[in-house]
Amino acid sequence: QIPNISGQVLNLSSIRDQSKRELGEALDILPGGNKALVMDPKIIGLLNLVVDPQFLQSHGAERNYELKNGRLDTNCKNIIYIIRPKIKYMQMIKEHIIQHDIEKQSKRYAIIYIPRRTILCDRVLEEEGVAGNEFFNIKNNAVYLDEDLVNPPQGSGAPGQPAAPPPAAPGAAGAGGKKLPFPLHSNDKVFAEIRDTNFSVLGGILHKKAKDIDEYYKRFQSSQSPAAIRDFVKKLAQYQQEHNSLRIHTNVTEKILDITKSPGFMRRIECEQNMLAHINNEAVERYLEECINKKDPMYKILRLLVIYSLTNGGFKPKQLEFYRREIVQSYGAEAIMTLNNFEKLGLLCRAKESKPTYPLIKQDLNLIIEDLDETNQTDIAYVYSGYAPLSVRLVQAATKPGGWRSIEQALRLLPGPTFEEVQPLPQGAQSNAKSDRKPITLVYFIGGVTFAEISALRFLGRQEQANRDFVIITTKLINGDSFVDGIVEKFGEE
Amino acid sequence: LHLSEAFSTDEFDIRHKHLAMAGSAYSQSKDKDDLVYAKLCEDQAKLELLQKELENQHEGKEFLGISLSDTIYQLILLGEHKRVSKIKSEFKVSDRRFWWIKIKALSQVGDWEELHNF
Repeated sequence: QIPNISGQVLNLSSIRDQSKRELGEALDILPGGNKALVMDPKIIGLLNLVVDPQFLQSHGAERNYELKNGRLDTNCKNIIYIIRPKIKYMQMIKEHIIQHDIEKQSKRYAIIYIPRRTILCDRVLEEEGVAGNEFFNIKNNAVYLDEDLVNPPQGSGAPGQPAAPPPAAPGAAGAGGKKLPFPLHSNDKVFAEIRDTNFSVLGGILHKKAKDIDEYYKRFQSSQSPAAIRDFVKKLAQYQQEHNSLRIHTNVTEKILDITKSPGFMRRIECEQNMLAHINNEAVERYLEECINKKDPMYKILRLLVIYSLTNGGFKPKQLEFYRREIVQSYGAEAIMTLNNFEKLGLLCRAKESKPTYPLIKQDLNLIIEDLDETNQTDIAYVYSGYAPLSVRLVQAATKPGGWRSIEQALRLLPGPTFEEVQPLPQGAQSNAKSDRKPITLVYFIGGVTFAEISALRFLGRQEQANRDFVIITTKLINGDSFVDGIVEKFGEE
Repeated sequence: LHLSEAFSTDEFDIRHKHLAMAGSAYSQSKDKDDLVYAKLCEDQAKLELLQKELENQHEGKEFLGISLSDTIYQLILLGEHKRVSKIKSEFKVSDRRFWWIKIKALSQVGDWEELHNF
């Protein structure tokens, strides 16, 4: 099921329809039916957000395959690859073509590149002597992840390469221990309700939901009047669907709670919160050292070190040297390059002469909310159990009367210039904004947005005083680990 | 950068050469941080020499490519306590980390006597 994006705020369907049309045209490039689609594993998730299997079939696609190493055996005469322009894929395609050639299978090939065909890929095919087949690329391929989330084509300047596939639950609920993918988006009513909640209240909400459904079934058993039965049957399908989805979410939640209730997780959260509140530095340092000594996952260490460096305005020289040596000696010399990457980006650095700016920013923007009531959400800080994401605080300030003028001091302390600009309508264009609807604010996160930041923005949008809707555009969906992953140097991989 | 060359090959001689080049490239810099990196490269070259030597002595054991902490861990498993203390001082391993490794390793082999002495 494709997520519904014709939703309340912006009707994005027309843009999706265009992607769909372009894909259809691309598929028709090899005439006739009998087509095999061979897809980049990363693309499959995206494709599911744009088209359904019936659509593909109506364009002659008979079989779908995942592109991987090794043979491709198919009865279809026409083979269409839908891939990102990666050299390793070109090699795989070459293998297929050669294999079919040797076995005297006559096939026709086409490649659909997402987001675009590159000269490099053409060259690889040329050198391998298999050029001359047909190619096509889809022009407009922004992908709409959900009602309020847009993922545009990755420009060459934007960090992070592939567009993120939609978040899929780990699928703890499959029958017989089998893993089943379970798409998560706002069509799922239960998910729509729980996705933006803090994990600490998740259990309670699901419990209440289960009771609601239970009561509904019970009410049916006690009341037997025809009107009540009619009413019951009318709602039955909806309740059954919710029931099913609830079962899955409850399982997933149990897994999440297993983690969040573990002492290891608690200590780490405590450490992160100490750093963000800028207190208990000594405890934090002890914990950091202990984690390295225990050889906890390096991602965790790097995340914590980055937070430390950013909130303290850097390390003392001795300290930085100490962590470098500890990490390299514990995790191996490959970490040298990873550390170097972090330092080049300024995510780990030596303290400057001046005082750290974070405490002031924290104060000005009210980043830490103490005594936060997680069940009664009144501030965006609930998404991080007490820390309000800086990015969303800036958005919040910008939407208030007076804009950013009220937080000028904090803005000066943040790296990078800021400006406000009113964009005039191009000549001849007409505003199509209807005066009776709330204004829409487009927030563009370059480099990626975390799931919690999205939740925080959604929360803002629900508040009365904001009086506007938010639509989020981003180059990538990230979390703390995937952010670190982009900077870790990897060897022995492609 | 020479380092990426060094780490992408398993061939010992080539690794060693690139590590040395990376180290000297860093050491020519005036930046304080680069000098630290020069030292780290130097240490790594030294470690790999040592690991090669260990592989020659303990047949069937693999040392090359693992971290210093893991090397110490393996050596404690083999009961090479003297060698371990030499490495500890040579590479400036912090006491606390050393204890972690040692306790983990000794309980792994069940050497309760040595654990007690320590």
